[in-house]
Amino acid sequence: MTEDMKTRRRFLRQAGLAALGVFAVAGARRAAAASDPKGLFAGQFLEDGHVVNIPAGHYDREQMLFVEEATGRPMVAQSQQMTGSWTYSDTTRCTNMFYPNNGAPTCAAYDSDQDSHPDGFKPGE
Amino acid sequence: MTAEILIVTGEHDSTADLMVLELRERGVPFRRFHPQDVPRDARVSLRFGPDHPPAAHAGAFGDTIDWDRIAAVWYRRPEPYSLSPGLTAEEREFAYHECTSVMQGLWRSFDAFWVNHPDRIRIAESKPLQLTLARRLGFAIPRTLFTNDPEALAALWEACDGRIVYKSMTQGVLGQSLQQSVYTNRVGADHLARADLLRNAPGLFQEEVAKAADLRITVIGDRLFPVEIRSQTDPDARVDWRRGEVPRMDHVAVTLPKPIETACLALNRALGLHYSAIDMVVTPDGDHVFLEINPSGQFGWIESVTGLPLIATLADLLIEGRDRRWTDPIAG
Repeated sequence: MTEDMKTRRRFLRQAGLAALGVFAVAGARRAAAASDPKGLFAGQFLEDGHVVNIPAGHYDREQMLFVEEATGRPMVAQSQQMTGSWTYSDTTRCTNMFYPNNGAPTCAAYDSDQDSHPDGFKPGE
Repeated sequence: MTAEILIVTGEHDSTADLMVLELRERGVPFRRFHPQDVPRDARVSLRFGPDHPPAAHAGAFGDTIDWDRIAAVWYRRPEPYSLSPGLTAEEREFAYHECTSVMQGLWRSFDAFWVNHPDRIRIAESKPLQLTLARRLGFAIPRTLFTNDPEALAALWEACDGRIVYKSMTQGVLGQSLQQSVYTNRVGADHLARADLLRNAPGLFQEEVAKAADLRITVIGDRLFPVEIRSQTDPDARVDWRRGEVPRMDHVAVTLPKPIETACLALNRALGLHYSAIDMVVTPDGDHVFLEINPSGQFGWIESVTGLPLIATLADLLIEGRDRRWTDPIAG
């Protein structure tokens, strides 16, 4: 018997499969109910995501684009931005933007956010 | 009155930014709306009465969108509503549902060409439905199990000789606060030993299909852009290509066998989608196996890596939909 098969058999015993005749189904259910599991099965697969640093920026309502604070350039104009995978970023963005009737919008306050991006936003490689 | 295209998304969406540049370059009238501005920064009003057709206005910061002018909508990736942090948890829950109700009412009550309508997206995201339709349309599909039953999981593991993978069923991110993700993973005996955790939430388990390459098929209207992602050269990406350094993997535009092309278009039609990203596997024997369809799947990186004209094709589709005044039966 291979090690793999042994492991599988071991698991099947642990799971209390009635098909193997090790436990009665009702008995197994009672045993399961007695211990209330904490956490999620998915939690076993948690791993670090892709994290990138995105320079300070804000959404420019005039251009309808997300722009870099320092240059006013659309971040999308930079190369190699998307990875197709879920990405997290440490983003400094404007949290209090003034839109005066005359004159350029002015950011009065910044904050650092942790954002998640389904398209793997990844500027400026 | 000039008909406009509406982009519904969030502030921070680089793919939407590419569309903004494309439409502006072409001189196409368009608007951009962020549901995340609702309810605090954006005003939304829907008016109904016996003596006038439904009317809706939405907008933020003095920029008002008259829904009567909107003939095509690209429903991209809206972000959550901006609820007041001053509300209690109960008040926030109530406010969230009220916001959802008014925004869903807006999407459902006014006629336009949608890529894609959010109700269609919601239905199409159902993985059991995807597999049901895919099999019916002739795709090869892997043995798949959705369960919270440890015994059912064990039986699948046994039947597949221990070669199965776990996937999340939704795009919900577990571990966002720690910037962690759950990718597709092989299920080992040590994982199975914690199958009791399925009592807290079911999982999606699938027979692991041997890969020569991953295949991402971007479907825009009736055009297909199949691209092989040569993920198997990157050890980190063998089970899930998203885990690897995606832009550094070889991406190769390919031609699909005719029956697969036909089935991809039929799947989109069956789900009422005008856009999708279909994930398949090419096996070492050259067979094509369906994994899933993403009604709002990403494509920006594919354009930047391969040069395929995805944004331009999507812009063509939105313009065509705007001009033909195609409608969706949900609103029509």
